[in-house]
Amino acid sequence: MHNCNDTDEQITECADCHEESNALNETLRITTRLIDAAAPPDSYWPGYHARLREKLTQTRGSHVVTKASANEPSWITRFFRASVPVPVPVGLALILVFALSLLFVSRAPEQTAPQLQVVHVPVEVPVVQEKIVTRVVYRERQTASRRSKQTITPSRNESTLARTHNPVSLIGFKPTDEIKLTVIKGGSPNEK
Amino acid sequence: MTDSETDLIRRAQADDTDAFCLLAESYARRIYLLAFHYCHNAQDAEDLSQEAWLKAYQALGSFRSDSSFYTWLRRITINAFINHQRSNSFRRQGQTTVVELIDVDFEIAIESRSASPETLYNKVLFESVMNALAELTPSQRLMFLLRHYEGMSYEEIANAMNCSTGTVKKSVSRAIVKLRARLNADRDTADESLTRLAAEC
Repeated sequence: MHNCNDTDEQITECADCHEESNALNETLRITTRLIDAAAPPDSYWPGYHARLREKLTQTRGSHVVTKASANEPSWITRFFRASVPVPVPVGLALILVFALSLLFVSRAPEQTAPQLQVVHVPVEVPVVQEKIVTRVVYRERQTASRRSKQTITPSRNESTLARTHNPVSLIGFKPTDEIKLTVIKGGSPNEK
Repeated sequence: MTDSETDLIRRAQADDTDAFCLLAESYARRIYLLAFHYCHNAQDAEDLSQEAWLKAYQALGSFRSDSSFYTWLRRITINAFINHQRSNSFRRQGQTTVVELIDVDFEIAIESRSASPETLYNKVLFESVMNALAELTPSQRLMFLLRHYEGMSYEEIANAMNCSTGTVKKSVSRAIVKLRARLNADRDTADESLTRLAAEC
């Protein structure tokens, strides 16, 4: 089979395509002509239509039944339309019972709804109160403690001085004639 | 749509079975042929075509004259075919019945020697076409028939069969190629048969 794009132009120009196209058209022509030839003979059709009519009649019967059932009222309508045959004495007795029950209900003492009474009850609520406590605290001063510390450990201080300062020699020392005295005020509060 | 057809439709819509049967007589042959080529069996074709008619009868109330009656009927028929294929397989698959019938006819024709060579050639060709169609799948056959026998467009077929236009084109093309290959192969056999028949005459 020739493989070519089956555009009209190519079909007319290409000899192979033209031949292929003609072959396909011929195939189609023959096939469609012979499809009709598969139809049964004329003698077949009366029986066919008789069978079809029979089926239609059956379908119509079921169709009518379906339609009839479709026309039936719904169960709610049937419920409200329903009637039950009741003997007269029974009916009268039922009416009497109904009337008596209505009378009884109307004469029954009315139960009033309980009224609401407002009662004031004082309630003590514990409240947490804050209390401020002032306290005077005396404490020793730092300097006093330091001095006491120094007096407690003099040997230690001396050794420390000896370590930090060089040993002073008195070579070239001349004592002055005047005495210069410098008084340093301050110190501990008890000192006067 | 003719006036008589419109009248028949109106009467059929009013549950007139006779009117519907008259309508059926007008189109029964076409519907039967579609069914026959679709299922490739005479008994199945009758059942299938009548099923389509029954469905048409039940759905006749929905026909609104927007399209022709046959277009509407064909749509129902195609749906019936597709549903039938889904629900159960056909009674006798393939070309067995058809080929046997044709073979018998051919033998009778040869024996009687009353048939003309052209008629015999047509019968052989018919057998070839039936065999070639039988090699296609039911969907391919239906698409081919709708396109080249019913003259529907690819879009119409795709719409009726719920598939894409491309699928329809591909199926129809494959069907034609298969038919052509089969007919070419069988044509030589037919020529030989005719030559034999001519020699015997």
